[in-house]
Amino acid sequence: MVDLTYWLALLVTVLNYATPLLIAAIGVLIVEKSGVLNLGVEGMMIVGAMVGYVAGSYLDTASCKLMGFDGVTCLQFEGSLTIPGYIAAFLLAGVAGAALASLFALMTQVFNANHVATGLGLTILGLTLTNGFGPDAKDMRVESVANILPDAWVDLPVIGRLLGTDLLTYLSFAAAVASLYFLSRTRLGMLVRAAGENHHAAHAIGYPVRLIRVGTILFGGFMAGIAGAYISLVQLEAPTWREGMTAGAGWLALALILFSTWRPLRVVLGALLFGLAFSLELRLQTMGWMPSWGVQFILPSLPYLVPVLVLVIISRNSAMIRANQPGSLAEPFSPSS
Amino acid sequence: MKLSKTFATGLVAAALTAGAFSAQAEPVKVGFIYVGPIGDLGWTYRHDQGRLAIEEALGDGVVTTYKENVEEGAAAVDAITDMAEAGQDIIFTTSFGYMDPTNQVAANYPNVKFEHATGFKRETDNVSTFSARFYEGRVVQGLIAAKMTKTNKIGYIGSFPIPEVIRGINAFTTELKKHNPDAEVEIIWAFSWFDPAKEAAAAQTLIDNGADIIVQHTDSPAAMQVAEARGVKAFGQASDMSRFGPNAHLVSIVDNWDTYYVDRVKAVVDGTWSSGDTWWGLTKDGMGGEQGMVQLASYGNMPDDLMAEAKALEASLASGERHALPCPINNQAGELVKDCADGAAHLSDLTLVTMNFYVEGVTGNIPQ
Repeated sequence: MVDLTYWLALLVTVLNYATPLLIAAIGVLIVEKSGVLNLGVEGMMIVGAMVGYVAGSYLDTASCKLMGFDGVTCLQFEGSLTIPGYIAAFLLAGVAGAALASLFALMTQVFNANHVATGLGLTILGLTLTNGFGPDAKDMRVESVANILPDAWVDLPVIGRLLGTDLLTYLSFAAAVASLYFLSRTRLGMLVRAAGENHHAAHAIGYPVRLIRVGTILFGGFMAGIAGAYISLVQLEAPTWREGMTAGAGWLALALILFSTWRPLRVVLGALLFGLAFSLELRLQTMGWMPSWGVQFILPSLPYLVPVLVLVIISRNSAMIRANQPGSLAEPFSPSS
Repeated sequence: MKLSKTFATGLVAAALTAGAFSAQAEPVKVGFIYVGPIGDLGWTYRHDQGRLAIEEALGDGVVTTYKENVEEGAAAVDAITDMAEAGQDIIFTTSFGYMDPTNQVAANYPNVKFEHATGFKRETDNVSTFSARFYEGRVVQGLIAAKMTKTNKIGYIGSFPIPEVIRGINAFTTELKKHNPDAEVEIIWAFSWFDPAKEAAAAQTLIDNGADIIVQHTDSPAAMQVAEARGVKAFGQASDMSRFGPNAHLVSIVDNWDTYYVDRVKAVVDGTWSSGDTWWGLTKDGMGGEQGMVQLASYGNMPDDLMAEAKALEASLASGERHALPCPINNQAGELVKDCADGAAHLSDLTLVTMNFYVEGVTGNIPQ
């Protein structure tokens, strides 16, 4: 039974769980490289998940009408999110994440508030804003989401499922490579790193440290929002909204950055590892050799136990962390001081 | 002294009379405790439809209220107590995990009636229990799955390993094996009644493992949606889930609590309510009588002759001509189950209510 199809299916599941972690983590990476520690990722993700779902449920028929079909034709699309609706729902989710991030930017960059406290507040705010929304979602449904990728790919035998994963999976890997290029090869990327390494020096030679950081914070929020919408719209193949459904994915994205010691390609590796931990939970249950306490209590915490173990191992070598950690990380900066 | 005592007694009597009088005129207050949101489109949704049926049948004579997403276990005590404190006359607690909390609160509020779904404990005479013989529907699903599967692998999503769920697994597997001995059932426990993410992930995993038919004993339509997306078949649970799987949906087991709920609230109004245990299947009496608590809805996505065969099986279960689990039935070790060894024609209700073992044909162990 354990054949090529099985391993391909496992790989697809790993990619499916890795995608939102990777998207959010690339955002976190750029934010932290500019010297900002925003612990509000979980809050921005859950808001993105909700906004993406709500937008999806309103955009199902609306996008059909925009394409010029009449209302009767479009009724058959009720509940199914077509391609323009898909793009719009994700963009709105990103904007919602960025909107929440703008509060963080205001507090930390204008009022010089403590990064850790503000970030934690942002997570609580995001969870609070979305809590209690669950019961109201009963009239909204997104029943299926269009796959942007060409049908010819999806329909291929065996590898069709791998190639036909969501467009965002491809984009998340592209984003990881792009972030490497951005940080090491572009002028703007250098500026981001300069602001993060030593904000006083960057300021002294005339770079707009606070402006750069506001930009990265908004980018981080946008990515977190998209990652959240991936969870509510794509990950389950059954679009769903539920309170607290991101279930710590935002924290895992932050942990990924520590795991990767701020190196983009290691972020990819970490996302795949964490994705594997998620995929194994139910697969190990079906193998049947686990005692029931393990099935009930250990397996569900696997995706969180693995990062903890990895971080414990990594933190034993503090030189490895210091080598790439931005020098001004989490330090409030005021040009006048 | 004596005079004042007489006077006081008179006052109390007057107050009691007035109280009784006004109680007559006031609407009966009915409370519901739900394990999921009413928008789950499955289990809780059907209970809420039952609540609405009470409102429709009794109109101004009744005021209903509900609380959603109440955690099972000790946490439910507070929610049920709040309802009793708020003056509800009858409280329906609609999940297995409310069994002990319901009995605990009932002991403190002897004047409030309690109706607990799917449990078996009635510690005080103000507690009733009721459940549906969902397993009758599982038999029909077992037949359909046996003839529809091409991979001979069926994925089964369980909620908690409690008798109600184990009964369903046993009834399903017994019928499945009868028609297709090569078919296997793989079970994933979600350890939750309503967790769309977990239910969807379970369906994904089962399909990845080769299942081409998904059975669920959880509350949301997530598994049906996954089956539709992956091009396999699935059975709906608690509500009619056909709209979530236009190409996947085979048949749904639908709960119908409406009649029972209306009857029980009317009994409170009439003052005839008494503690009892009710267990209706496809029909109330299991002998072809009135519509019971279990319905099979929206047969589809199967050949016509199979559909006819399935409907005939449903009819024979409803008329009592056929029992869901007729003897001989073996346990996993291959020994005759006690009821059958004693010469019964089928498993007894007591065995079914307390079922904590798998029958022959089910692989794996029940999580303890």
